[in-house]
Amino acid sequence: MSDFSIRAPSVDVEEIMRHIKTRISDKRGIDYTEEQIQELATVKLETFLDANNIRSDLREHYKRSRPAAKHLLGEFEDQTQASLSRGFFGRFLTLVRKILTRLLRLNPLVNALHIQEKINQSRHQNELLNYELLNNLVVEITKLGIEVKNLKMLVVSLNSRLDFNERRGRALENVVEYRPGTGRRDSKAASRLDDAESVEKKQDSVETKPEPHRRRRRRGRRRPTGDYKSDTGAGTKESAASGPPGSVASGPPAPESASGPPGSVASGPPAPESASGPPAPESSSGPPESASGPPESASGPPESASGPPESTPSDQPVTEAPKAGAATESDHGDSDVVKP
Amino acid sequence: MKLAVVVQRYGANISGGAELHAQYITEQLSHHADVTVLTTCATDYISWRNELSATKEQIGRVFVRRFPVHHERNPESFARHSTRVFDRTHSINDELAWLDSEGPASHALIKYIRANVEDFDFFIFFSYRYYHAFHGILAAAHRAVLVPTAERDAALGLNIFGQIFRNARAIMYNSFEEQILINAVSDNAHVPGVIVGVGSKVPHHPAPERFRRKFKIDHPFIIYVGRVDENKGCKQLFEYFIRYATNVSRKLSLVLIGNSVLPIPAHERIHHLGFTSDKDKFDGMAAAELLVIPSQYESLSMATLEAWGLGRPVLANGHCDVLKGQCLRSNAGLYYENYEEFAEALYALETSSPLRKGLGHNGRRFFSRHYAWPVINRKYLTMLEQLKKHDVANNGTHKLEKVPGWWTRRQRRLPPANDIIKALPAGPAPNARRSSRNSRRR
Repeated sequence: MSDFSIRAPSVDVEEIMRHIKTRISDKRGIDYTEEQIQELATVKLETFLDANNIRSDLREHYKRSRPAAKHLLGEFEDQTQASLSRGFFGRFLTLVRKILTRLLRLNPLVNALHIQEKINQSRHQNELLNYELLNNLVVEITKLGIEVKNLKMLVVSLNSRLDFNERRGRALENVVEYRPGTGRRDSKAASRLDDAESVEKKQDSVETKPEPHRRRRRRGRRRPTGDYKSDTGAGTKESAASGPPGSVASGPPAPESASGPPGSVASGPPAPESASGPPAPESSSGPPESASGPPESASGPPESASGPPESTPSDQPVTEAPKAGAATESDHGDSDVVKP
Repeated sequence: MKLAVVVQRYGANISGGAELHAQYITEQLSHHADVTVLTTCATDYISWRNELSATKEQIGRVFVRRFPVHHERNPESFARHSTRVFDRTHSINDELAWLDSEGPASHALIKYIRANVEDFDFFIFFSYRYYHAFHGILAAAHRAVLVPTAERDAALGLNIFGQIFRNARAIMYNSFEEQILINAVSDNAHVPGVIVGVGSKVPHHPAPERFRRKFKIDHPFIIYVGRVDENKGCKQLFEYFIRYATNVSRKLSLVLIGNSVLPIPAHERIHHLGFTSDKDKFDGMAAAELLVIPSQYESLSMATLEAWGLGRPVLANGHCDVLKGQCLRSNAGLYYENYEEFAEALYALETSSPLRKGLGHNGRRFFSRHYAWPVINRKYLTMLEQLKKHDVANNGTHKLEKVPGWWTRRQRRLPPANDIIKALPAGPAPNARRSSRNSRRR
């Protein structure tokens, strides 16, 4: 609320009230009256109900369906007898009534009818309350129905995610257990390692003057064999780097490459191949972020999805161009492959 | 000049707007004429029980005659009759039965008026809606001057009252809005009328500090004066004020003066002082930041006029046409129609001293121009003298409207009174506003 700048002699109530109303309407956004607000609230409720195919005019429908019950007996008061009939017959009845009142006591009957009218009114009020209650119950049931539906969808989503994780786990187990050509692969890697060392030794021996800032290449963190295989999928690094596009996708499941949002994983079938983002060449040579997607979107374990930050290629101080035919930078950064 | 003031209750300890209005006017006119008050023995306006003796007494310069009430009000019967005439199609007899059940039905009073109609020059009847006014005006129509104190309630829509609005010799209205309402409901534009209202015994030098010391109120406060009743809008006032005190103001209090028929909420910043003396009331009003009038049904709020007389602004219920119209005409009060407006207007008044002073200044000027006693007295006396001259010129003849016959009174053809009220013009009187502005310019 802001202060008014009022000068005593120039007070104009009309102007002040206009100012106040303008400020209120500014606060509200649109100057709705109470009736309009009520109307809007009703509209919302109707929409809500209609969305679930439930009668939004249930209460009105009930009210309309029993119009006759309201005045079953009619209004009966002390003067009602006189006005029951009109015309000549009415006058005749009035005359008869006057004669009868000399002979009979009609007051108990009048009282009874009056009480009955009160009872009818009370019953009508109760019925209105019942309609109100029924209407409220319907609204609450609708809300509960929608909530149940939401919960069911959540259960389905969780189920699919669980199923996906189970499949992924099984796939990983299969990869670890089934290792065709493990020995050959190990011998290849060992021979490559030996070759690299021998080349290094040769270079050392040829160059008599050693470079002042030459650094030894840091070897990547060695992992157990099973881990390495699981990181690269099936097959060796060479096959992943030099194979045609889609060669990774055509291999066994590589769940760490799944980069879609969690929702898509949950709702869609658990197909890591189809869910992988970029095609194989980019995934083999691009930065790890592009290969594995944002960490929060990866469904696999973090260390297998993107690797630790210090092992990324950008952190490696190597400036020489990679040797032709040798393995390029790893997708995962922590491979055992040593650059020349 | 010999005058009779006819009012439902009269006495020193009787609170009530119309009764106080009658008392003030009686005391003022007693300086210019021989005034007798004709009233009932009742003091309670709900039961109309005979609590005072049916004797004659002299109160100051005024001679008071009290007449017993024939029967007390039966609330059930009154409610039944009210439903009949306000909400259903009904007959004139139904309306007469309603009037009888409302009370105060004093047959002796009407009999006295009928018997002594020639002994008085004029009968001034207060409050159109009661038994004494309707039957009294019919008994002495050619000498009847009516002060209707009408507001926009269902009783105004009853057919029988149109008869007395048209048959009275003159009508002393309280406001432009009241005149418009009565003209619209009864088509009585031919009846002489003047907008008068009432003055007040506002002290020239109130003592606000004395009030603060006596009631130990240090903080700034707003004040409500009158009966603390739901019908007066007090329930809504409590709701609004508590909301305002919680969300907006940290120091403003609400002080209530008057008897309560409503539970007062237990809030640290709401103080109920009960019924106080006039001195305390005026000192309290002078000490207050402003007067709040939450009532929706007012024909003329005397508390509002008193606040203006003391130079205090007013915050009124904007749903009341009369209060809204007076605020606009006087430029001395703000009004509200919902909580947002209440909060904004109250905040503006609480925080802006120049605004309060400006409105208070306008209020004092409005009061002295229209509601000072010399102005009120002059209007009454001028009207009575003109009527007397007219009587002399026309040999005292006054054409009365024909009273409905036996058969007509029993035919249930009259529409519900509430329907008639809904069709009446609403809002503050626009012409009055314009004329007030013009008069200020002049």
